[in-house]
Amino acid sequence: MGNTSIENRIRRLRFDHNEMTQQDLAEKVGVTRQTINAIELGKYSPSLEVAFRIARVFGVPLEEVFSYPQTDEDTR
Amino acid sequence: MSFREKSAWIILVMLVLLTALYLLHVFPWTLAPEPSYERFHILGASIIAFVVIVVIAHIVVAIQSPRDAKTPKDERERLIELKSTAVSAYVYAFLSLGSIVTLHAGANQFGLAYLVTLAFGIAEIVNYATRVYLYRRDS
Repeated sequence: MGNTSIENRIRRLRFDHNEMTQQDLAEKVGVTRQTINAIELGKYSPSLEVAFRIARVFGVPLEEVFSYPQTDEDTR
Repeated sequence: MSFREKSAWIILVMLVLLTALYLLHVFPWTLAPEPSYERFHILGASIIAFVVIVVIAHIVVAIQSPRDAKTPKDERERLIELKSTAVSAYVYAFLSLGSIVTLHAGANQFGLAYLVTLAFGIAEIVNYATRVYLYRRDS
């Protein structure tokens, strides 16, 4: 917990899916609204299972929801 | 604020009040106290009042948001609980062992019992304060 390097497009995807609320997404995924909020703000990295569930709700691959930015260390 | 965060706040506030009451009216402020049934009764009554108030407060919060109260803990809440419990365990271990050291400083068994009880109260305050901090930090 705390700030994570993983970026996400959950807020954008929610808007694109009939302006889904955080509460709606939380209920579909099986977590609390506060957890969805923490994920969107980059303050919490979900488990793999929750990440997959979020992607499945939006009907997109995992990489379209979450991304891990490349750093200088990765290219060495 | 989720039900679990509200619950953490309720218990934290009540623990602080209970520990303050303990320090003001129960704790003997000496390492070798005499046994005191008066202090024992005050402590017993305080613990009963603590349980009753915490239960009532939780019922009130649950009535305000029943769906939230019924929702099982999710992974983030379980992680917060694990982290805060780990921190408080270290605090309790340190304070308890420190209490035992007072035996060499003239403490008797009653003084040790009061100190270990205080250690438990402080550790639980740290437990719930850590939970509140972690909930707030993620908001």
